[in-house]
Amino acid sequence: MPERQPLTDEERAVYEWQIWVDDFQEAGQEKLKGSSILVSRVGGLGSVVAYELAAAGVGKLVLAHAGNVKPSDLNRQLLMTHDWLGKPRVESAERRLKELNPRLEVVAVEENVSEDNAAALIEQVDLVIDCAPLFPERFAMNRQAVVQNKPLVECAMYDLEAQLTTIIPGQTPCLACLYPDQPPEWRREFPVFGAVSGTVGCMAAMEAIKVLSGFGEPLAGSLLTFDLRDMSFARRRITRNPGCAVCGQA
Amino acid sequence: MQVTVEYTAQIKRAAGLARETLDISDGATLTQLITQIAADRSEALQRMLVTGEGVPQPTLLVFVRDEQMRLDDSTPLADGDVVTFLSPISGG
Repeated sequence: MPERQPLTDEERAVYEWQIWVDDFQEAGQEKLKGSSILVSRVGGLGSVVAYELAAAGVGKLVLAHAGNVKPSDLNRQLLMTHDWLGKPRVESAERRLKELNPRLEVVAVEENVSEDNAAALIEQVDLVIDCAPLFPERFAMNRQAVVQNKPLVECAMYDLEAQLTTIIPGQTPCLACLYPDQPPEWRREFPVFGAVSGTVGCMAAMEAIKVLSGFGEPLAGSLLTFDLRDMSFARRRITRNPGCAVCGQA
Repeated sequence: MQVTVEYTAQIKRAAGLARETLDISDGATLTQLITQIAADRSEALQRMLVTGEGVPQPTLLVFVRDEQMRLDDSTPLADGDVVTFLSPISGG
């Protein structure tokens, strides 16, 4: 877990409203300042996740996302701007995050997470947030999070629906417990509104803040699902798979 | 007996509805329910529910009365159960 970093007077002023939260206080803010988080892809989910974490005062963000900004990103990828079309997404993300929080350390990696780079990326951080669209990169992240015993916040969306859970290796189901194989029908591009990715992105950021600061009740061992079409929310208990190829022996 | 089946995300889209009530045999298991649904629905829904060998897709996440139920669980379903099929989804 992260080491506390003392706050400056400027930081006390910026984070005053959240320091007023009873079970967070200045000690929680000092933990966030000492924290580092990998956000895998800064698309519809990851943009909002990273923006909320930057606003909250997390000390360091590692952003991994390949490719350039496309017109079809702009309905939901809120760190991307029209003037950055055709230029690298992570550069746009870093620029926007630094505008919000110039104290934030950003490591911008113009690659998606893969089996080749997952270990090195996750070694740099205290916690991982999976906002990626493809299961192979999600499985690579999950495997390394389990190996390195790092918490992993999993968020996902489709249409007006979303799912969210927090994986604590050795204690909760991991991603491979839930989905042991690549879902055969999943495609990288799918229907969704930016307001849906923004909603679940804010929730994922709050999960990370709770885990790193040590307060509240994260969704460990629970899966939150919601459908904004009728505003229905459900929190369901999920269980580890004893035969899981990734965490079964953890 | 009857059970209520809820579909989410991609599965809901393939099913064309979010919720339905189905008649099933007394003592039917989850696997039997899945294969019953797959038997007379669209090809898209069949592919999400069962493999080419006709067994439940291992990536299906299923809850019965909000408790996760493993696909190999042979506990019989009960009259009035609500069975929820969660579709694997991602970020983007």
